[in-house]
Amino acid sequence: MSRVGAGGAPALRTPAALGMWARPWAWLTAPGSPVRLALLRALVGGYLTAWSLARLPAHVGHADQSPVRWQPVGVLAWAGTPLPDAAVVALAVATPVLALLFTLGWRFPLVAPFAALATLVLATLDSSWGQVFHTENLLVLHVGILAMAPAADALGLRSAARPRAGPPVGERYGWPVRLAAVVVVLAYVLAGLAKLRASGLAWVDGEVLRNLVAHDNLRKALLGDAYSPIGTRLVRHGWLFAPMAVASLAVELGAPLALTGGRRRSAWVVGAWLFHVGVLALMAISFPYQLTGVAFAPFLPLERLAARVARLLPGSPAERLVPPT
Amino acid sequence: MASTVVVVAVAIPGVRTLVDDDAPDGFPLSTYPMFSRDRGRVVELPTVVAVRGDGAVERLSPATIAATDQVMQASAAVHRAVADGPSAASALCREVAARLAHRSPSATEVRPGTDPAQVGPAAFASVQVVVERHDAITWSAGRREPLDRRTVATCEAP
Repeated sequence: MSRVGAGGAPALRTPAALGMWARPWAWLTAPGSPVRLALLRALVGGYLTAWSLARLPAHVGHADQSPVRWQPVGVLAWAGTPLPDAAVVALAVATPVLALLFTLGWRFPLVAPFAALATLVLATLDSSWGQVFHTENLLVLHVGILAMAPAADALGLRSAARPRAGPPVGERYGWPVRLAAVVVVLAYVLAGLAKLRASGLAWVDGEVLRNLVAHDNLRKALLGDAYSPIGTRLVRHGWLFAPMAVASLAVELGAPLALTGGRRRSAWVVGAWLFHVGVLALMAISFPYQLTGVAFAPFLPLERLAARVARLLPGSPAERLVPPT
Repeated sequence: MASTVVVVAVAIPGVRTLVDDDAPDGFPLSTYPMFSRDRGRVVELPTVVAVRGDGAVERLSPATIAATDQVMQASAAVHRAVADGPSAASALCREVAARLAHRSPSATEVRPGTDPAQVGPAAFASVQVVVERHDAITWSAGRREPLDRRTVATCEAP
């Protein structure tokens, strides 16, 4: 029985001195399901819509920020002064509208690049006041990848005249899902390597993690923000932090396992999700894109999950997502 | 081709951190520097506090300190004001005092059982930009007073 990896491709069987890039390339560009890609678009777009609406007051509030706090990063690094107030408000208001159209797949080839650009600029604006929001990295990257793909060939508003499930499996539909999975893996691996680079193997004795948890909660308290009572309690028990430090490094450096499919993928997704639950519990830091599971959607057989939901809930909207058999 | 560009773009900042300690962070292509470097047990943290007539110190929220709901942005604002010298710290102090005059105390500023009038602007004698030194581990164990507190700027409360 063959296993299935991210995006529905045959599982990537690692090492072996294969013509170095040939095999990864074949894996990345293998055919994929248009329904899986469309479901990923709907999930990521739905999250983007909710995020941009929930953060609307804060986004509009950037117009009132003091210019002395302007520390632009990324695509705004060139800007010596904050964006004009009208541009900030227009961007904040337009993004949820574009996000909704992106989610629905309406005129996708036209709308999606604007949605991706608006998301990139808005999220970068968020990160240009002295704090880089790493919580939004994967969202921005996933929206950008989906915007380059035919992600509304199935299940899009404009594809209503065609069968709901859209065109058959094809090469055009596989790479975006797998690329979205690869950037998730890269993000975790790079975070793990950064820990080893900055702290070396001392990271695994737990003292660094313990100090980080204590420091983060202390800083929140001094700045009048909510901090984690669980974290402050656990910091008193230093021995707990060595296993937690090892586990966090294992999740980060073990991320490539998620590309191999099967149980290893499932185990890693569960482990990564628990990692973020732990971060929330110990430091009151929320990674909502990860905690809602949307960040890990590229690893999951979404069309099969939709079919399962449809079988459990006959007559539900999920039934319309299932390709005709 | 697009895939290659995306993978390389995402990987480059991370690879830079492997060869350069001072590689700057970016967005959305990050070096993921957060939670990687040991901060140590004893840390100096700048903040802004309101001081009552009797000398008691009250913590202020990120919204009062820097007109933001993000604690890290408030932290960055205070760090920068302190680093930029006395005039920048005084300017921040006055800004916070002005916001204090118009604010409703946040949930984290009002302890259970507190009379809201006692945390209103009239309750405070001054606003101070301070740098506090704490042992983060003993703070977690319940010893909340700083090892020392250095005042960088003071201004009158409204």
